[in-house]
Amino acid sequence: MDKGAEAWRQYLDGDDDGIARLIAMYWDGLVLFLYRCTADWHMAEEAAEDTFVRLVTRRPHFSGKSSFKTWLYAIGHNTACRALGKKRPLPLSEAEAQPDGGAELEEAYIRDERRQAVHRALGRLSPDYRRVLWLTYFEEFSNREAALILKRSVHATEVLLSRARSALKNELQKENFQYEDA
Amino acid sequence: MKTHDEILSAVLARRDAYLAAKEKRARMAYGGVTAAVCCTAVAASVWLWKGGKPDWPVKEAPTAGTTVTTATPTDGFHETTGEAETAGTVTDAAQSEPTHTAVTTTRTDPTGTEKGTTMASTSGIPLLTTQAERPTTATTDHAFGTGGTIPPTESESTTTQAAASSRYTEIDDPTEEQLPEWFPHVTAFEGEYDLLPGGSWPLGEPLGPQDLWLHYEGRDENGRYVGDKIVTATFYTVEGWADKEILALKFRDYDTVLYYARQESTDATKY
Repeated sequence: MDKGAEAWRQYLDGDDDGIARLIAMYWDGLVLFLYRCTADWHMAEEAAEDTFVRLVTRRPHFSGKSSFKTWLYAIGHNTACRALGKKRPLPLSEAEAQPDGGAELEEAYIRDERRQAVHRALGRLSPDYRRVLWLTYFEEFSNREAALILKRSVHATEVLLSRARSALKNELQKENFQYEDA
Repeated sequence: MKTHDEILSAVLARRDAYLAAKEKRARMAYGGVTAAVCCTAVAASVWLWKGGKPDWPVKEAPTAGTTVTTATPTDGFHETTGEAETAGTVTDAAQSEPTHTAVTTTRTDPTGTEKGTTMASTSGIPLLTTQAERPTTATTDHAFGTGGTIPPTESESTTTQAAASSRYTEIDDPTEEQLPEWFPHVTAFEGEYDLLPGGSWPLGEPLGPQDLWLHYEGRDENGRYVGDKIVTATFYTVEGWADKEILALKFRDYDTVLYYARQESTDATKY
């Protein structure tokens, strides 16, 4: 069974440990993904917290049509989009310079050096490219799952992903990075 | 950077505050908010709750047999066409709950031609218009938006709507990204509350005008949570915009219309 769904069921059954498990499982990844959406660490952390607050206050129904993680990320994405509607995000380069622990979180989450290089290159791409590449490359969501989270059709997501990969390839080649086509 | 334990504490603290506020609202509920849902397929009231008191003066409700003057129809879909302030006679009064009476008012123009009905509640707030007064042709440049065309709504028969409802799949939380370009970008309510839609997204229900609960989460100038507000609004379905079903929410006493979209499922047919 999906561990996230299991923990969610545990919470719905009245055990707060369920939400503790969800935070332990998904917080780091969710914040990093939302950072890719907002380009603002504070906003990303706040949106992630808001996401969990929405879960525990409104107790939405999880249908199980997707993985729990996909569902959670979709809610997080929506939350971040709403937050972005209020506040203009910082340019990514400026946001990355903020000394609030975000970099450590990224390093802890992305241990592989090669992936870290890719991750750095992501920062130079457009927000749409960053999001879709983050989901498919770092979080290893399928194209369909990424489409669900980003509220796009699968086809549109695949087109976006293709373009994002090309853009990423160009960025990596500037660093003489050995790029392997998937 | 917060630890997971700190995050958990913050999340649970906000949950507890939310539940406490919700309980307080339930205790102090004024005028039977839930009764607003009973206004069938006709538009009903917009209720706003803050500290258990409405934010506008409460008027005497019309009773059956009396003649009333209705408010200017401002359902947001069209400009009024001259029948503003039309007098009508209350022809029916249905006691829905002890504290909330739904009153149907027949509206007529100065020549005596019936122009549809309105629904009122005991508070006298509502008076939204029925579909009879809604446009049958596309209109443009509405007061609530920055331009654009809203498709005709004449096909909104209850039968059609009920059948159509199964053609849609849920969007967990509609976002602005799903809204058409002419969305007026209303994200704040009274300047300090952000909309958190979806709490009562009425899936599977007929798509005619009906009430919808909205949950607003208040934040201070630093973006911190300060409280909640529950609003009921009426939503209308405006069909056939691209591949989405567009829902329009009209807050009568505020110059505000919100739109949400619900996407068709893959097996959807054209409108």
